[in-house]
Amino acid sequence: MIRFEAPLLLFCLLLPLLLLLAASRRSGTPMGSSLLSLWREQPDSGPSAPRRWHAPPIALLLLCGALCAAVLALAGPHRSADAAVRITVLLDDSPSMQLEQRQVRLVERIEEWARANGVLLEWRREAQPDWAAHDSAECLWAADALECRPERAGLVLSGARCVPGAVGREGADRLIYDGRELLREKGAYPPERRSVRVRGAMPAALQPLWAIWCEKQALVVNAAAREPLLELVFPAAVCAADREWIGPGFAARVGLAERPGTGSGAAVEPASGRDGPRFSVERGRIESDLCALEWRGAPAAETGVFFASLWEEALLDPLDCVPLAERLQSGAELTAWPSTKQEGLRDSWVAECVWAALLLALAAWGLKPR
Amino acid sequence: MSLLPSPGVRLEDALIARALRLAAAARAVRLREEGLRARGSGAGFEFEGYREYQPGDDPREIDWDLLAREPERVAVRVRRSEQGALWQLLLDDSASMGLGARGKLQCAAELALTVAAWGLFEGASVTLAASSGARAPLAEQIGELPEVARWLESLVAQGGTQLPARSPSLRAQHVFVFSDFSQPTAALARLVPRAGTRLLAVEILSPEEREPPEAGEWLLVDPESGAQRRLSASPERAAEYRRALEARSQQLDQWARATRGACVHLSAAAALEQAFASLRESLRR
Repeated sequence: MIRFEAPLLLFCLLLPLLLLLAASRRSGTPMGSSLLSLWREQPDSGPSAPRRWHAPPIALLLLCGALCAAVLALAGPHRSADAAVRITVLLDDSPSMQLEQRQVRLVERIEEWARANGVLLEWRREAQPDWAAHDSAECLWAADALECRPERAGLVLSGARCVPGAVGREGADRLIYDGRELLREKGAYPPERRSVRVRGAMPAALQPLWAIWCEKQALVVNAAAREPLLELVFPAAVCAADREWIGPGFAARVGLAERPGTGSGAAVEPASGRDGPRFSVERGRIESDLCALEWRGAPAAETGVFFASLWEEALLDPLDCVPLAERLQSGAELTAWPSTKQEGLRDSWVAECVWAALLLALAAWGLKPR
Repeated sequence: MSLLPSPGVRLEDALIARALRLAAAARAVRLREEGLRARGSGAGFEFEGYREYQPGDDPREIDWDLLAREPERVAVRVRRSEQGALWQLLLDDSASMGLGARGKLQCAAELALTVAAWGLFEGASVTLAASSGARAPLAEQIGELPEVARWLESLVAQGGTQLPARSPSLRAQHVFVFSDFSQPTAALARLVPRAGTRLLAVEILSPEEREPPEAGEWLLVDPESGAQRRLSASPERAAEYRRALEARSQQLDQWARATRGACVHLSAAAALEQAFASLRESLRR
């Protein structure tokens, strides 16, 4: 909402209006002439002829515009202090935000601040936010701990103290961090509950990696499982393309099915080289158009890490394991709310009004009847 | 916008010097041209025409041949080289002469001062009168030109007096009438010169009167009568006006030829040098 410092001055806007009314009603610009008789008599040209409405000259219109702009500049337009300001909250949605209800409490704090200041919030929850891309005055960063600091955006950190708890598993054992060291809870994961399934033809070169990963996760590959924690879907069709695939830490020659994955999950294109296979990843399911794989050399450690992280991302896990790095202490609470005053707005409007008035007046002067 | 933006007259200090320079140049040109004519005709003066005999005229100048043919008419020959001649300058100082950014009266006053200087250079006496009835003292010497300028500066365009308030002097060799001839028929009827008098009508119009507007809504006002006329200007109406103005100019020219005089049409915005050159050119025709 727009407010004015001196709203009474807005009555002066009637001045150009009256000027226009008078100009459109008057008989014309007076001009003295001693040769009146030389002008052909017009039927309605006598002094008592009824006045007609006619369009005011362009110079007068410009002058009225200049007057309006000048009046607005004097009135001092600015955005109302109590007007709602929109703030985009970039909320860290990484696993550590679920510890100690950090995200819930942070959201409550932000909403309370927004209510108190009449701020409208727009939430953006991202597991790995691009903080630098949202460093503007209309943004608020919300996380538990951050190494970088914003230049213009607000910042709210819940703090991230050490939170002991489950950090992973090895076979049927659960690994627990107690704040000082890792402990092993034996037999925490019954093997019968953890089955995965492969559909289609998994490339032979990938099968050793898959077997190692399943064993490490205490997963049983069971094609008949009704509710597998993870299902890998490979095409059964003959490969239609044969391409070079350069992935993180490896290079391979791959065959791709004619139809890419049709899963509803987000498409992942891990290849940094030419067209590689597409992995459609969603919770509990990975669909790919990869139908053949031939390593260029022996698979490196990065190869295993790449596929393991891909499978772990989609793995349904009913147990609340949080990586160790997320449980460690990494920062204190910090609050720097973004400004809701939007200062500078009023000045810029006044300056624009003044410029408009000057330019219009100049144009009116240039076009005035000589 | 004032209807009469320039009702008064303001003559710059340097104007007298300009007028004298122009007058001296005009006299030099005349002498050179007359010298050429004299060598051709063998005469020592230029015959200008006749005017009615007045008591006091030199009887030797009476044209006896004309008297023999027309006994009721006693006329004397008038020569250009006649010393002791009188140049009469009549200025219209009615309200309409205040029209225009520069002012028609201002233009008339500057031109009148230059013509007065010219007359004094030629050895003539110069008398000035305004249509309002004001008269300047008779000027007979160049040194009296500043007084002429002061008198001209005292003029103000006002009222509706029409030219001429006074008939041309009976003795005048040259009569210059500076006016916009806003009512030419009435004015010209009273401006019939006598024989031997050369009358030059100097019509001065404002630029707006010479070049009418072609667009816009105007309220035309006659500053003398107060009459008004609304005008929706257009190129067609402007063309009609120009045709009427041309016909009016031709009417003035016809009258001038009929009275052995001349007429010159000037813009109030014209420079003094240009206006004076036009005036001299009209006199030579």
